[in-house]
Amino acid sequence: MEKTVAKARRKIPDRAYNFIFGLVAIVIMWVVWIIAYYAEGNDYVIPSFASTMSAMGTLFATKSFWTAFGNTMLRTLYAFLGSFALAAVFAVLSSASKTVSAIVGPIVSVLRSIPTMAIILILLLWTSHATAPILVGGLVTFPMVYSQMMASFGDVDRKLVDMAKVYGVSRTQRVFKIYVPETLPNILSQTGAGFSLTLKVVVSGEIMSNTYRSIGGMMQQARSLYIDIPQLFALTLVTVIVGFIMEFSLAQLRHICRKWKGGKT
Amino acid sequence: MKKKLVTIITCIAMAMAVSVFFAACGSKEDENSGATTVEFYMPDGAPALSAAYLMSGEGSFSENANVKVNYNVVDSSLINTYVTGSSPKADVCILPVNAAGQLLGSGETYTLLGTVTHGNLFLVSAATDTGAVDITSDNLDALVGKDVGVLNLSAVPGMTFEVILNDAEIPFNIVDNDGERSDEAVNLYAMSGPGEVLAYGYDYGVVAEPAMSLQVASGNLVQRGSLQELYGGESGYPQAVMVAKNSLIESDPTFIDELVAAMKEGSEWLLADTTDMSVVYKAVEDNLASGLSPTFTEANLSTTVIENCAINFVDAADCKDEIKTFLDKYTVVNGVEYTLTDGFFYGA
Repeated sequence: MEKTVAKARRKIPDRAYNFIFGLVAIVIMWVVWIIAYYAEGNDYVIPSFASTMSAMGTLFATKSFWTAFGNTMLRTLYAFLGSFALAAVFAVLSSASKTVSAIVGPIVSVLRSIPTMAIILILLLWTSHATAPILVGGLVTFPMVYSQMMASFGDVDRKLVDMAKVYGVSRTQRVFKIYVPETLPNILSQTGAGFSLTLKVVVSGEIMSNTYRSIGGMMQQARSLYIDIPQLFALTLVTVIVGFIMEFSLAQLRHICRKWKGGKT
Repeated sequence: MKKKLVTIITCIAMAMAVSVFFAACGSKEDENSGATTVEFYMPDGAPALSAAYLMSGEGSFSENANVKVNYNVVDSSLINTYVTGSSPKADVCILPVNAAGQLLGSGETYTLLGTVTHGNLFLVSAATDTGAVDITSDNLDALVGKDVGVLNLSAVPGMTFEVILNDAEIPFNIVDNDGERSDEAVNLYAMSGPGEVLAYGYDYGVVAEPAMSLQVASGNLVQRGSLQELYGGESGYPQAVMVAKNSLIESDPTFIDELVAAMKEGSEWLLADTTDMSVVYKAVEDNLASGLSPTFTEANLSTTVIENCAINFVDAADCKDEIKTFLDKYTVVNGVEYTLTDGFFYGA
């Protein structure tokens, strides 16, 4: 059996292999859902796949869903870009200065440890129901992106940098010819996961904040007002699918760095 | 070049200073008209509906009152923050009666003008549950041994239901995470949404409007009783009250009298045949805090829902005893002492 798999593994290209077994994973999750549905036997706990798909179709045909979807994606974008920019600034400063690194490090640890729901409750007191999800999304993503960037900067070959200094290469050229090509692929490859996480946290924030015209607000209303569990599941599924698509798409950004790697164009 | 830069920076600084000066002067009182700005805060839901008459513009204040009112419909969980602190933001506020009693009962900063709503909590059961019966004050003991999901068990809905059971000398048992249910008492479970009546198979649920009417209309739930009727009395129990800052009452008593009159007119306006529901929910929506989802929308607001919200303004002098009695009963179930001075009640 193992030899057969290994033989097949050698014959099938990587991409196709990952695609096939990715589909297998989706089928497994779908089967688990079906089993859970029949085992529970209560549509108000686990709705059927068919009713969920029907609810999803109804959502897609509703203008208010697309308004909510657009608002949520916009909030996610603001949160992610904000945290990315801040993380980049602080990561560069921390890499350049031990003092800055020593100050920022504990702050990042604290941000990483604060319970997400607690932050939302606190932010609701200080801001608005529309703003709180953005801020919490940024606060949760920032430590992760900062750590990734610091790790990437730390992986830059010091000998290369020293050699560039010895040969009098300008700072600008060192940045764009050494640091950027060395760090950008790693950073960009993690962008998708970061965006997906931000989306999840923003939607959680919207649920807690009962944000108007948002995916999270719709989830809250589906559960607490309309008892529309198929719609709740459909909204959750939409969030998962969008997160997956964004993660996959943004992970391809690392390919734009190819022209820097090994001098290839 | 340097001189130009200094000039530009100096001009910008002066412009900022001047604008701050004018902003500070114009913030609370309009010097030209002499009108006072009144900040009116209320939680979304039935309390906001009670002020819809004013917010829609159907009701207004005379020139004698000399005020400009800013209406703020906020998240119910945050309403206490507007009446507390060294400089509370709310000049007028609608808030739960227990919060008013606990935070403001001394009458130092605020005075209670009257009761605004009298409860919108109902007993429901799953439509498919053939064993459930209608619950009245005569057969409240039918709940013994049953499982009742209560929305916001630790807050007003839960405490009010406990008061009702206590008054009827019916034992209840709060079942928490590791708790065990009892066949000798009414088992109360914390519920975060009416759907849990169906999801967890509770025998009954205590839910509020507009969810109750929505679910009854959709055939998921059946109304089995009203907490207002179970509590008894002419109007049921006082749920939300309106308070005003003492300084406002002293400086503008005409406005206060007109406000009270408008709130009474508003109760009738909400139930009038000529009142368009879209005007009502738009009035609330237009004054909603940024980003907050409205409780009442085109999809769930109707005359039936408004009737169920028991919006009826009762003057402080007339509801003083009712409020004190109700909060005394609250003390029995939650142990919180409410200090209500006579001076806290307007006109009493």
